[in-house]
Parts: sequence; C-alpha cells; structure tokens
Amino acid sequence: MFNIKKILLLLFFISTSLIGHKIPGMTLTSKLIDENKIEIKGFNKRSQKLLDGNKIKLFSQVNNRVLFEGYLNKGFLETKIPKEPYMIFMYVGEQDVVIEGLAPKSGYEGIYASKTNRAFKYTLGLSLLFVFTTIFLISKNLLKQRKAKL
Amino acid sequence: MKIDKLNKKYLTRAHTVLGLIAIFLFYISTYFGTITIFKPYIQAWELPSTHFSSDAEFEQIIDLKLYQIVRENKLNVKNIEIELPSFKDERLKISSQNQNSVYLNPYTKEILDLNNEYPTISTLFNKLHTGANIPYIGLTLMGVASSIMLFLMISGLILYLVKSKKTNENHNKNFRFKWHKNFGIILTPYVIIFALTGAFLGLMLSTSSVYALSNTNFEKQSIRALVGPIIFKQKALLEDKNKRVKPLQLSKLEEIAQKNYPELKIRKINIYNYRLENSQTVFSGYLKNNRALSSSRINPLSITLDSKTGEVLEKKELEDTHMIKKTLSTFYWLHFQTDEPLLIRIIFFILGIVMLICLLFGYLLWAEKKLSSDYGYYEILNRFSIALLLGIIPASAILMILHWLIPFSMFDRIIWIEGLFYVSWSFYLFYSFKETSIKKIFKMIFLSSSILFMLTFLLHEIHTDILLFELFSSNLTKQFVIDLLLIILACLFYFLYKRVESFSYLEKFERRSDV
Repeated sequence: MFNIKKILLLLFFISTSLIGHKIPGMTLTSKLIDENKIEIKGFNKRSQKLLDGNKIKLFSQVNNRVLFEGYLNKGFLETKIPKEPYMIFMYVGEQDVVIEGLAPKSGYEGIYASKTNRAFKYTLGLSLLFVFTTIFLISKNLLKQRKAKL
Repeated sequence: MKIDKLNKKYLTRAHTVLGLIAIFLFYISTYFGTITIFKPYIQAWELPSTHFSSDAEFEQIIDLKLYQIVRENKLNVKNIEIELPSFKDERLKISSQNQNSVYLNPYTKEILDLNNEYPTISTLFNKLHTGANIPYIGLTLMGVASSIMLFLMISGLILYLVKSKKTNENHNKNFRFKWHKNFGIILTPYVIIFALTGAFLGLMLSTSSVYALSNTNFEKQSIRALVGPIIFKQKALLEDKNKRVKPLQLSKLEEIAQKNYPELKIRKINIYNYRLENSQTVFSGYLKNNRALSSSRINPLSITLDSKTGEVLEKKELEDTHMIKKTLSTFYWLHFQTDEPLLIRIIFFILGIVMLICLLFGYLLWAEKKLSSDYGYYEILNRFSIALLLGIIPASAILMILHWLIPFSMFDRIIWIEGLFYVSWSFYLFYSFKETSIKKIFKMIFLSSSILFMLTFLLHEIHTDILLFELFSSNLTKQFVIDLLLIILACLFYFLYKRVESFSYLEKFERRSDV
C-alpha cells in the first residue's frame, strides 16, 4: 500500500509540473473561405488577442520554394491556395510558428506525399530499430551465458 | 574529523548508489552544459549571417535607416526594440514585440539576409543540457540529478575529511581513486555554483505549480502568472497619439542617457510610440560595477528619456528593484554567466572537463570492483556506459555536421537533425553490444569522432566559402578559433585512436571466455 501511495504522489507532482509548463504562445490557424482561397489568422492562444503586422510566408513542401509573402492585417490575411502542398510560416520574434497548409476543395493536381511527420517517423523508426537490436543482442548473450553455466 | 565506522560504511554506500543513479543524467547535462558555456561564440560560428568583418569603427546608432526599416517591415511603432551588438551577437537587431525581427550589419548598416538560418546547434545542445528533450519530466529529472549531485559533493567531502584508519589498503590506492578524490575537492565551489542553481532551475521551477495551486485554491497553475506582474512588471504601452513629431537623433539621446547614468552599460533601446508626439526612449542594460545583481536577462536597469526633448523621465536604479528580483538575477548570473566575457567562460569550461573526468573515474571505481562478481549483468552496464558516455561525442559531432549538410530552407530541418542525432547515438549503443572486443569499440568511437570533427570543420568552410586563414585575416576571430579547435579535437581523437592498443587497463573489461 505504501508503495502505491508513493507512486501516486510522484505522479501528482509530475502531472502538475506538466500542466504548469504549458506556456500558451502564439498560434496560427487557417480555414477555407472559398474554392481555393484560405484565411490565415494569427493570435495569442491564451488572451485570444490578434497579432498585427507579422510576416507570413507560404513554402512549398516539394522544393521549399517561397510561394507567397505577406503581412497579417489586424490578425487576418487572405490568399490563394498554391498548386502544390505547402507550409505556412509566421514570424514571431525568435520563435516561428509553422503549420501545414490546407488543400483546396478539389485537391491538388498531381499526387504528392505528405511530408508533415516524415522526419519524425523515419528517425524514430531508425533509433528504435537500433535500440531493439541491442536488446535482442543482450538477451541472446545472456541466454548463451546461462546455457554455458548449466 | 571522526565518524562512526558503521556510519562511514553507510555513507560510502549511499555515495556509490546515488552516484550510479545520477551519473548518466548528470554526465550528459555537464557535457552539453560545458559546451553551451560558449553559446554566444558557437552562435557566431553556426550562423553564416554573423560572418562579417568587424575591424571597422562604427557608430552604434542607425537613425537614418531606422525609419525606413520600420516602414518597410511594418513594425508596430508602439514598442520598437533595438538590440545593440555585443559579444553575444554582433548583429544589430531591430524588432517589435511579437513581430518580425530585422538584423543589420552594424558596420555597413546593410540588412542581413538570414535565409531561414537558425542556431540549431546551440539550441539543441541547450535542450539536451536542460533535459527538455525528454518530454514532460526531463527538466525535473535533471533537477533531481543536480540535487543528488549536491548530496554526492557533501558526502564526498565528509568521506575525504574522515581519516581512514587502514592506510595501507591496496585496492583503494590506485590512480583513479586518488584523482576522483582530488578533483572532487577542487570542484566543490564549481558544484555549489552549478548544481545548486541548476537544481533550483530544474526542480523548483518545474514543480512550482504545486505551490501556485495550493495558494490560489486550485485556480491558477502557473506561478509565473502569479508573481510575474509583480516581479517582472512591464512598462505599459503609451496611449495613441496622432500628431507626428520628429524625435531627437538617437545618438544624441544615447549621449544624454549615458551622461545621466554613467555606470549603465546599454544593451537595448526601446522606443515607445516611435515618431509620435508622446514618444519615449528607454535605454536598458546592466551596471558595469555590479553585473550579478543587475544581469540584463532578469534585472535590467534603465533610464527613460523623452524622445523629443531628451528630458529624463525615469531612472531605475538598483535600490528600486525588488529583493526577489535581485536574488533571481544572482542565481541566473551564476548559472548562465550572463554578460561575462571570455576568461571566466574558459575557466568554467576547463572545470567542466575536470568534472566529466571526475564522474568517469567515479564510475570506473565502481565498475572495477564489480569485475570479480557476477559478470553478465555488469558487462551490460559497462557497455551501456561506453555507448552513453563516450558515444555522445561522435553523436554530437554528427549533429554539427547535419547543421551544415541539411539545407537551411527545409521546413522540418530541426526535426531531422535532432532525430538523426538520436539515430547515431543509438547506433553507437548497438555497436558497443555487437562488437565483442572493448578495445575495438573504443577504437571505433575515437576514429569516427576524429573523422567527424574534421568533416565538421571542412563543411563549415565549404558552406561559408571562407577558408581557415582567410577567416583569421578578415578578423573573424571567433569562427577561426572554433575551426582551429575542431582540427585540434580531430587530431586528439586520432591520437587516442592510435593509443588504444597500448592501453592495457581496458583489458580488464574485456569479455571473458571462461564464463
């Protein structure tokens, strides 16, 4: 029983620090307002205050070209959707905000693979592969040693 | 000093066990922390836009350009911030709150093209140092490790002072034991400074929400939101005015500010309501004679002038600031060495390396003792330690290489770099279990480090298109020294690689065929 209490207490401390550490910063949302037009909105997550005058850039996901450059006007910016998958960048001082851009209603012309979580997936997969192979090697060795002892 | 024999035994045991728990986390923290001591210099090396020659004389203020920059970049005139060049960042930065930043070469006044560059290396090293790379619990874990470190320091000190009765014990008289002890004594002040402040930053700040919750009847979680308005009171924005007025020249204003506040080293200029009727200019920075209490990060002091007439409106002096702010400022100054020049950083860098060696020796003392007992389990831990404690060196070199290899324009660049850093680190883990001979693992780690550091140096030169001695002749001293250090490191690791064969100490740890 004592141990469970301890663990619960530990979990409580960890979870409170977790909540305490979420500092709501600036965010960026986009929504479709027409066939192929989006409205980009930049604001402070906590106070819902709109950002003004921040630079917005649309980058191509295919070759990182800059597709569009503009500034937020009282929190909003309307623009045409590019013809290929893209990311939306907003410049906020030192920390930039980036989200994946919405596709037009009819989809893009041509086939593109999403690159949003690609880097994370590949590198996580590779590191886990190495870690699991290591664990496999360890257990193999341990078994061998035990056999030798018997 | 005398101590009960049994107590001494318990103390030794606690020192060993807690040491083993903390060593891995604390080693990583110390390793990356020691590198991040040179953060301003690393940033100068990793950002190509800071590679400009600094031999020209410059007047710091950029009046003519300022108006044009504010208009072209649609900066909010309510609060325009100008960060003056210093050893931390030689560029001149103009920004407005939560908005775009513009960087200038302070000598030629031209706007620098950043090309999406980002200080990846120093950011990631700093992240690894604080444990922020482990989601949710990393910071707290590092805080716990630092607290344990404080205990290790105190218990080590007591054990050092206790005179051992059996002076002719043979197994305790080896080289590593002697230097683990001696380094430990030398490092006491260093550990007090960094582990104490680190434990405060890591443990207290990350669990502060408990206190915040209990004091507000579970209404607010963030202690920052509670104490921020009192301790870090921000200057309120001025009311809107429509009438435009031409302000005094910035250089003139700076002269007035400096005359009225001669001890202030100005780091930042804030202009409120730029070019409007009620415009104010605030010069802030640290005191030249008291950098600890007035560090520019936590407790900047300032002088406020009327932009039109140059009249002094407000002067914030050290006596006016909150006691807690002064204490916090001292804590931050001790841990981050804010505003401190090169010499102190070099001293702490050397002490950091000594600390790493001390930790390594501490681990080896334990590992040597365990060699004679049940072999399989300890071998796993030994190999794991090699991968973790030494594999981190080539892995961080890979991080630096990737910074130059992956194009700056890629939107998920930082995820690739961080991810591939973990991939390489886990590769070293894999290799240290795959390879049977310990010596071969060491050889591989040293050789790959040597090659990787050389590659880092080469890639930097290729990417920025300036060769080593051109760096020196065009006065890019920081970049030149770091490149030179990389070459020296590469040579050092090659030398170590050549010496591994003759290092008979390692043979003790080799896998034995008789078990």
